[in-house]
Amino acid sequence: MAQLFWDDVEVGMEITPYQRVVTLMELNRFAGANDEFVLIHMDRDYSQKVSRLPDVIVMGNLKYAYLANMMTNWIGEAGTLKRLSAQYRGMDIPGPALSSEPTMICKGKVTKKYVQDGDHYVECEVWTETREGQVTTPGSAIAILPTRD
Amino acid sequence: MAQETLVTDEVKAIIGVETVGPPELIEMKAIKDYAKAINWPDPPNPLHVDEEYAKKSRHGSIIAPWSFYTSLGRGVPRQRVPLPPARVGMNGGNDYEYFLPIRPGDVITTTSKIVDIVEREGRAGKLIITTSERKFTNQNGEVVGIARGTGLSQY
Repeated sequence: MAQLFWDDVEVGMEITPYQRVVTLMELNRFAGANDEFVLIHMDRDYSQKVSRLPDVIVMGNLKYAYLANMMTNWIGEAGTLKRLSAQYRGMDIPGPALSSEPTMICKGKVTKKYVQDGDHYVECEVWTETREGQVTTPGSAIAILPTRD
Repeated sequence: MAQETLVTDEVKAIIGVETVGPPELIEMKAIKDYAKAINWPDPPNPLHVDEEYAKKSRHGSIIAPWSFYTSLGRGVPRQRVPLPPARVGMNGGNDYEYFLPIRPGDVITTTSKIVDIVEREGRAGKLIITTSERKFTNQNGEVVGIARGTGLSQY
């Protein structure tokens, strides 16, 4: 992937979107890797009957990881992620097994660019949305980018 | 008439009390498994899984994905907050500041504290919002990142 340079970024510019198909398979794999075995993410019966949720829900930490992937893909290897925040406002329900429909769509846009202590910064608004376009996870990111000179 | 609050003085006393987890050795396999899980079913970014590739990068070795920090500190002793069990507990949000990458072989110590506990009347009942902070320090005494998190407990 071509490296992104600070010189070429403009306020309002869109971040290259990143999307994933999320099913119970992805939740299980992430639960293991993140050591996050919480019943509302793992057990449908528990989610519905005890926690009164519509289904198991996608872990906030996985949504966070997807947003981080979007940022690191976009800023490239010469870019450095300095800060990323996400607020889990809405529930995301995983799709059916073997689904190929994207469940989580990460998007963002540049809100600010500036130089501080010799480093070239960009600030971005980021979020995840459902296939229906509902924003479930708003957030923000700060990164340092390389310059062309 | 004063509403009965769950956030008693006994609950508030826990704010600011630091707990420290046991040092955690970051194994290569943990980084690779994590990197696979966050990009599944596509192949992970080679910077996190391919030693040869990573050696030639500006980092000089494999580094953990930035979001890997969410997996740290599972061994931090849980602070016993004297609240009744919630109907459902949820992650309200994460905010991570990153200072240095984590590499295989690093030993990370997590220091945790609760910075605020507030109660709100939600549509579905009482809601307790707990804000906490975790600091990650490596074997050289360098702070590699700070996380601020919000926990939501619904009653």
